[in-house]
Amino acid sequence: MAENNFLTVVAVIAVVLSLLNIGIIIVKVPVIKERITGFASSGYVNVTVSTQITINLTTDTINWGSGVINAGQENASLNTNGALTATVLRGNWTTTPTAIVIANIGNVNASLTLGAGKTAATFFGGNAGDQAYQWNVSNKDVGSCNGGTEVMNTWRNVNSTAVPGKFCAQFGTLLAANEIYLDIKLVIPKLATLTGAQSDMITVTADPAG
Amino acid sequence: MVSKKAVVVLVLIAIVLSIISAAIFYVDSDFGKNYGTGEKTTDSGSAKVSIVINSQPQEVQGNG
Repeated sequence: MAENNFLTVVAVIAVVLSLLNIGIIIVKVPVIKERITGFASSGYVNVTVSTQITINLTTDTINWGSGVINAGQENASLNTNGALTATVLRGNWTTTPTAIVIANIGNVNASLTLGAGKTAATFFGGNAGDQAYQWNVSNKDVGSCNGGTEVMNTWRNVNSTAVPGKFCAQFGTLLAANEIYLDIKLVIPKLATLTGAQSDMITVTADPAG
Repeated sequence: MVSKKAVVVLVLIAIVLSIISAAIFYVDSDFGKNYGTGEKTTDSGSAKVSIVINSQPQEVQGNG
């Protein structure tokens, strides 16, 4: 009998302790987590920040809409101008497109290469002398892009090198120096064989800096 | 007089409550979680260039 009563008391204590345990855990776990991540009176907090290369194309579409080459002209020329109004010569396409904007939102400098899916010949067809598909990389934020093998601030045929062109060896991550413009220029020949809706995809790749 | 059955029931309740307690701790804390290194050494994106090219109107030939 006495043994039975003792076991009962132990069991009741166990139940009470378990209930107490649940209560403490529910109340204290958030407090413990907060202290682990944000409370320090003294001592060491050892944190490793991992390398993160991340780019963001904040403007990723250039849509010239529908248009035609002016009568009597051999071609029309269209190009974006950073954030400013686009230039359209000898044609009636819209001037609303702005440059593609690429931002480095990672936590380390990166290198940047560009590749287009088409060339002028595969974009328009027609006479090679009257057409162009070019890009021009420039800093949106001063000092964003440095050390690439491709020339900046100059119109160059897309995919002009066999290996995708590296425009930045050091694409910065500082908030005030982490954005570039990618302007696009199209020269559409009068005798384009590929008319109607045409498009191309430009691939931007970020790799470790250098 | 407490029966043995009642004692067994109480012990079982205690065990169940302990398991619940452990489960809450496991779910609500970071215990046992592996967040990995988070390293990412490459990224890419794409942009689209599109246009609709209409045929140039035929030039009308004058007749004097």
